[in-house]
Amino acid sequence: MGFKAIFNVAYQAQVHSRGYHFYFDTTKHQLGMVMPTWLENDLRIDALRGSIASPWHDKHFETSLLLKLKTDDDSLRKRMQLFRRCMDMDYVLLFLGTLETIILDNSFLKQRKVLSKTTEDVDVQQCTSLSESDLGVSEATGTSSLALQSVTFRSSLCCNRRL
Amino acid sequence: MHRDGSGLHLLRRLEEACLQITDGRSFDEWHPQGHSFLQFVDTMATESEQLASLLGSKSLLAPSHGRPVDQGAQLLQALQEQIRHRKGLDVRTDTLRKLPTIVCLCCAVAILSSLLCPNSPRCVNQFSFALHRPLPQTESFIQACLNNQHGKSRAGNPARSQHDATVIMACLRFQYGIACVDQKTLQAYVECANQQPPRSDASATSNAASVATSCAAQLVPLFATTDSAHADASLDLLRRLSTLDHNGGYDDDEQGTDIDRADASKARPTTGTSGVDIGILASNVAGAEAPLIPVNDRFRVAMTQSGGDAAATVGGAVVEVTHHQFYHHAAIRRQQFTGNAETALHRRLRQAMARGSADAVASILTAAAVDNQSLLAKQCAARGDESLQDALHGGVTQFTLAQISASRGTLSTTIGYTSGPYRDYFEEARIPTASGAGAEEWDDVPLFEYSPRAEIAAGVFLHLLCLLPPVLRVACSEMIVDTLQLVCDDVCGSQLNSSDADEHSAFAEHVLLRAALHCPLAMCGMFRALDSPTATAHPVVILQRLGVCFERDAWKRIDLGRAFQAIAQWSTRRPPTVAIGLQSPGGATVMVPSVQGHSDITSEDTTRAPPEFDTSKESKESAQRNEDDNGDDSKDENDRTMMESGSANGNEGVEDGTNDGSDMQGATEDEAIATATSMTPQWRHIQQLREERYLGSEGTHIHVMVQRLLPVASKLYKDSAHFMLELIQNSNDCRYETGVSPTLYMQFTKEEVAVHCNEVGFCPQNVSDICDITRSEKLGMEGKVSHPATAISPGLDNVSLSLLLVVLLDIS
Repeated sequence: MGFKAIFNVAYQAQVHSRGYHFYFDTTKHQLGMVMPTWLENDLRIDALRGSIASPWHDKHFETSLLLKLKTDDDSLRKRMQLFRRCMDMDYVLLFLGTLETIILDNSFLKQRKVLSKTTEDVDVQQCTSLSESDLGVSEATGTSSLALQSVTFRSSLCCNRRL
Repeated sequence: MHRDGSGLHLLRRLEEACLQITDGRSFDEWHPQGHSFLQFVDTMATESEQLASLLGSKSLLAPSHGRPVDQGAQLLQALQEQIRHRKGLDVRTDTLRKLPTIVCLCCAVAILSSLLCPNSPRCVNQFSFALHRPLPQTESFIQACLNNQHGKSRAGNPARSQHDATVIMACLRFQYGIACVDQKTLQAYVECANQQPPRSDASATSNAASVATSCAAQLVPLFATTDSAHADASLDLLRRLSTLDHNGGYDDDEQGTDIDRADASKARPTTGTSGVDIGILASNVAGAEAPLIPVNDRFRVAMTQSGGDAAATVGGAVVEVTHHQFYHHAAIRRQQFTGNAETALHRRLRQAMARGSADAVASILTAAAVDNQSLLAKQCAARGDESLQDALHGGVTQFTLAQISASRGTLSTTIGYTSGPYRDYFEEARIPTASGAGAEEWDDVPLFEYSPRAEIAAGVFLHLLCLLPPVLRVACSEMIVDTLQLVCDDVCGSQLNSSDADEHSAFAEHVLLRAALHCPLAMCGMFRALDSPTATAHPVVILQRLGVCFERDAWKRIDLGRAFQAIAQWSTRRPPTVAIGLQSPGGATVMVPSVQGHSDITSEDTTRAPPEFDTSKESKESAQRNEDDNGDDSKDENDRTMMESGSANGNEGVEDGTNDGSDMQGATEDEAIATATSMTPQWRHIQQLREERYLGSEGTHIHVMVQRLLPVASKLYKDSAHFMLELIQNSNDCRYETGVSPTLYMQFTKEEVAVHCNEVGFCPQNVSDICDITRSEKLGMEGKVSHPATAISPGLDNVSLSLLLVVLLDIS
């Protein structure tokens, strides 16, 4: 039931994992959220996988979900709000046991946040790799046993404005 | 008796022919009285005089007789619908093969309708449609018809001359279509016009000369638009035509002042029409950057000659208003005809152009066209001349057609050359403001800074498309396509070159949207243009961006069905590089070439919903299509059909929608089974899940649960960002290989959220769970293997998360 919450914001959800490629689509009917449809060779998810930023690009992400967001009339404003809220949710990592790193890569807001719950050594490594790629200001916030690192970058004006 | 029987008999047979076509049988098999169809049409042409006399008689034209005047036109209308329908249905198969026959029939019907109602503008329109697809047989047929009618004209029967002229004119217009592919026809007609004996029966000479002249003048613009060599030839032809007009249309002693000619033109509307033709010709020649001044003289002469004729004035007005090169000259001439009221219009036009607002120009032009029409209609009514009114309507049509070619010339030259020459010309044109007050008013307005960019020209051109009757849009499709190609090339070029690329491309989108709004064929042109190697963006991508950029309402106005037919027609001419399915509302799936192949257009029924140009959704479907690129369109079609039926049933009960869906779905699955390249266990599992949901108690259970739980869920997750927590939580509960640092990578684009997780991946149970709505959590927990979507493992994390959730919801 929890997973179905995504259909508050998405009209379609694709699942790619271990040979499974299917999607749920609620545009025609609400039942679409329990009706998987096979999906063969989706180029979009491959493209998105290909655009994963460099430090994590080599990681093997076995499972990928692709949510096609709903568009409303004032979608742009709402989308901005939604994305800002999403970007602010990084701190939930503090409450999680298993997950070690969350990367929020928002090409729409031109913002990337990296949250890592790791040892000091790993933090240093990540900082180095990020500064090498000129991502911008990196700031590290530490709580008692967890290190929270947040890196924000804003694309310069010379970037493609149609991003 | 023979006369009556012959005409009605022919008409009945023609009706029969139309029915034959509508029944879908091949027309080649139809042999009326043992003759082939062409022979039949030939016979009809020979007997057309009898037919005309029969049908032209007042008793038959009266509505009480039960046979409307425009019966032939109605027949053709039905036929036209049928043809259009067929095109949409199977454009790639035998319809195209049959089309010549159909066109031949159209020709026959149009001749019939022209006989039924000699001055009706609808006849012209129908013919314009017929000339859409020329073929050699019809040419010979028309040649025979022409000879026939010429012979009768020479025989000197004044009573028949009206009908003869109409038939000839109709044939010529058809010939005009044929001439699109054959320039020799033009020369033939010029010679034909020259060969008219100057001293025979006056009405016959006038008639034939006028016909030949107007024919030639109509033909010339086709060759006189861009090529300078053609322009020279056209100029030469123009001179000859002017002479011819003097000799044939007027007596020798009438070659005096302009006013004399205008009077003569008033006396003979037929020759006045040819004068307008010359005017159009002149404007076209000028549009093709021939030497401007001599042409201007000719143009002025032509304008003056046509001054008394209603149709001519309308045509001249349209030409002059839209034709930038002749802006001032035409305005000066117009002043003599219609007075100072026009100068205000022109001043407004100038201001609008100076502002560079194509929209303003277009709106002013619309107003002007309406004004002109009503004004001239009033004049006609005052004169009590009904035939002139008909001529007016026909003239409007005709001149709009000419207008297209005129603006095409303007456009091409505008695009091709920088502002320099034109600014010079405008400077020069400002000087000879010969007559009084209007000219001084213009001096207040700064000279129109003509920009080399295509904005205004394109805007005007697209506006002209609006003015065109739909039939003519079809007839002019090639021209429209070419012009739009020019526009698009220019726009793409400036996109590459200009520093202000955003502005240019924004305008490009604007122009293209307007094109799409105004004319489906314009969309076709847009596709073709942007498919060129110089184009930076794929047309589909452009369309998608357009769909995002502009409000939905705009898209509602596009007749997408016709657009897709046009695209289908176009795409049959070139093999697709990557097949992308486009479903037209008629049910056919047509193929459209794609360069990048990651996009698609979904056409939904335009009466039901506007099309959504949604990048993300389509990319998925196109991917499917790329996979099945062995030409299997029916699967997609079924998918779409299901989508449409689903959306249609969306407001009804769940069970209804399900039943409909399951029927369709069975077909889809069969197709999928037949075509799937890899029938993996995963694929079978998904299919099994689908079957469960459509059939049996399991499905019913799920549907009931969905219905019951959905309202609860939407209240529960009022915060739209809640899905983030769910996703993060689920991935937290996943199983990871030892040594792997559990990482969640979330990508946000404008329309998508992608979540990547380096867990071990889904097991079949996970998939079953994620497709369920009730038992997911608990089963996922028991299944030991978690996945990001279903399982929530117990523990401190979840408690914390739930608390956090509550806090967040309270805050928001």
